[in-house]
Amino acid sequence: MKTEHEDLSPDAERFGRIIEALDRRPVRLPARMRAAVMARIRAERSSAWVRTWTWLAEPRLSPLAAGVALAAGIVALLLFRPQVQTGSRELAGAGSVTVPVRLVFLAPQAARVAVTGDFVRWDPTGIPLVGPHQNGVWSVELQLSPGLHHYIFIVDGTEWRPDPNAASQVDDGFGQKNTVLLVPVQKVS
Amino acid sequence: MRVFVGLVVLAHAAIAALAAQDRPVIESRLDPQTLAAVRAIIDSARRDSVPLQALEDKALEGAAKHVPVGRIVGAVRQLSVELRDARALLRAAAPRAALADGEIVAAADTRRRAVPAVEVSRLRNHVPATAPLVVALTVLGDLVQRGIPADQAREVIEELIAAGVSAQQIADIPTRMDVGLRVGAPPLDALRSALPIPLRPVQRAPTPLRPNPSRRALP
Repeated sequence: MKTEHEDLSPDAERFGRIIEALDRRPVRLPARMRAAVMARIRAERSSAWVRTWTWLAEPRLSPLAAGVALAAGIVALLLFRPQVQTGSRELAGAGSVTVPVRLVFLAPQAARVAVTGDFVRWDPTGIPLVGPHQNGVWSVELQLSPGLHHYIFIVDGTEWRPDPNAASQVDDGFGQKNTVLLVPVQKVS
Repeated sequence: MRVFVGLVVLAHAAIAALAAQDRPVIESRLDPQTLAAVRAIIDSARRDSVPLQALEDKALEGAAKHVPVGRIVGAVRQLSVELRDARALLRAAAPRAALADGEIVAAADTRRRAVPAVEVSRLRNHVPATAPLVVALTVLGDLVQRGIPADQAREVIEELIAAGVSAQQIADIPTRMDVGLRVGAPPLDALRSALPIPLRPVQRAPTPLRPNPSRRALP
């Protein structure tokens, strides 16, 4: 007794040979037809969002290259971004020159000491001093523009004290004193 | 793909952080009420060519010291008046000379330290354009604070500048003078021993503002 599948197998084999033969035959399209199809494809452009997403999603750039490019961009931003103006009290003609200035403060009992002033736009946290060294001395070296500066020490984050070693102090307008620091650079001619 | 999106997000965060850094400092540190009041004073001061950063700094200083709003605004307003007066004083003394913001701030500081306006004006009038006026004004205030009469202090500075003494040497005088004061020397003696060069003795006499006063030294 023959099954249904055995009855169809000769036909299946014949169709298979025909399809195999068709696949191997080269497809030649008329030139006009090719041009028409490409024109139609170009006319149906995808939306901007789809094109942007496609551009982002397609792996044109390796992650390593992208990382290098990004790092270079950030470095460029840091190097060439506009600088904050701090020259209102600078000496005329001093330009962008800075002068090393060492500040010391005696505070044997302090846990931390910082200095703030116009050179850091009165940043409430200030620049930390290093210490305490021997005999409770704290110190820091700053690079300051030549000119007149006002500053004050912050002891343990709460106590504001002028520099007792400085040449002069001036009323701060709030009932306390600021230290006056004169940073000269020019030679008097 | 995920790495790329992550990098883009990172770049966005970095750029946003940089933009926040470049925002005017007073906007980020002052509360809206103080900011509005300080802005009004600064806008007024701008018309008078007063150094604006000094006013901003005074407001920032008050905020850092946790001073109440009213006192911050009062201090900024007071400084604005002092800077305006100092600018007028310097401008009147030398109408054609260039005037730097630092010189105006230094003159205001000197006036705050009880130096008479006439001595600031005379010093401005006699200090050459090439000499650092900021140093001269600041040391004038330092010497007056240490008990030297303002006219004599001003004349000493003028003598030193005329003799070609460096700005650094002039700036060091108050600290050197403190050595003498600490052992009980009278201010004039302490000053004399702190000078980098001996000055010629001349008789003391009041000096007119114009024409150029004769230079005198310590008695």
